[in-house]
Amino acid sequence: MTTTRLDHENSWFERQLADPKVRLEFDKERASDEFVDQLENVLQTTKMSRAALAGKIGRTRAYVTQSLRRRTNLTIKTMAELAGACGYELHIMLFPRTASGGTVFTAPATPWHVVKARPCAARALQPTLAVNSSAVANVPDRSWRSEPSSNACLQAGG
Amino acid sequence: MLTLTQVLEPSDDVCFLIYQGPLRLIVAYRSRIGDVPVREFLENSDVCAKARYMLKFKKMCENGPLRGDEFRTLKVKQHKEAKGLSEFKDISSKSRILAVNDGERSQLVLLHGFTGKKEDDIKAQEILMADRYRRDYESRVAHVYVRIDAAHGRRGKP
Repeated sequence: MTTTRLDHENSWFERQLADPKVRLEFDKERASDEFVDQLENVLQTTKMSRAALAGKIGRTRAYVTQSLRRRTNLTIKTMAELAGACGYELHIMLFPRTASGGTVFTAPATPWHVVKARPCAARALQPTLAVNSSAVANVPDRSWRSEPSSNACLQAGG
Repeated sequence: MLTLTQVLEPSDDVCFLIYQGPLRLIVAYRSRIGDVPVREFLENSDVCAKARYMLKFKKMCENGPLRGDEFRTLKVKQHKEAKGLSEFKDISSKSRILAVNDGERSQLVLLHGFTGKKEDDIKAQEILMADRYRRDYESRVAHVYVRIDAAHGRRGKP
């Protein structure tokens, strides 16, 4: 690859993330984006339209569209309301900060009771992880794998 | 056998590493004199827009394809030079980054960023600029590979 000369250097992304101002904005954007992506994922899976979701929370379709476009600064109350209307609970979790910006969760987590009821659930998720791993077989830098990602199994199962 | 560092020259730096993830590599086009137009564009953007673009890059490289309102292939209807170009969209800052997929090297090359977008159509001058960068990138990168292959005793198309 032509970029081999740069492999020993940090990427532009990592250098930017080292700046506290950029990091704070990135963390804010990621949190907001994760919620929107998860909600869109749920809407797609359950085949619920934005109009139906708006009807459930007593708002207009435009409001839901605006929320999903991240033009509004979503409050926790609104997020809980939107998640609840789709049959999901809103949980907020803290993860240790990593230099690479951590994982971006775009799908909702597998409910705890499902994991608890099937002790081999983590093993059952292995094929999904294996598929993802094969996609990265040709990528030389695999440092991303060593990053702590306690929710990885749940993410893959979601 | 020669190493890549011995084979390559400073002018061979055709791209600048933006983000390297398990699924994809994103680089920015670097001109012959060493300028990186997209890096300059991103660093001159406000911190919120920069953070949003960083998040899009991360999601694409780690989670897979983005949604249509974040990244899409340009329509060729109005400008034939737009063929093969894609764009990252940031609705809030009304800006775009045009990119081209370098399939042979499995990397996405960011070519040109600009602001002032209101509707879906893009000014011809922005597309022409991106096309000019793309043609320069393609001609230089092919030349680099011919020399890398020659140094490794390989033949054929780069």
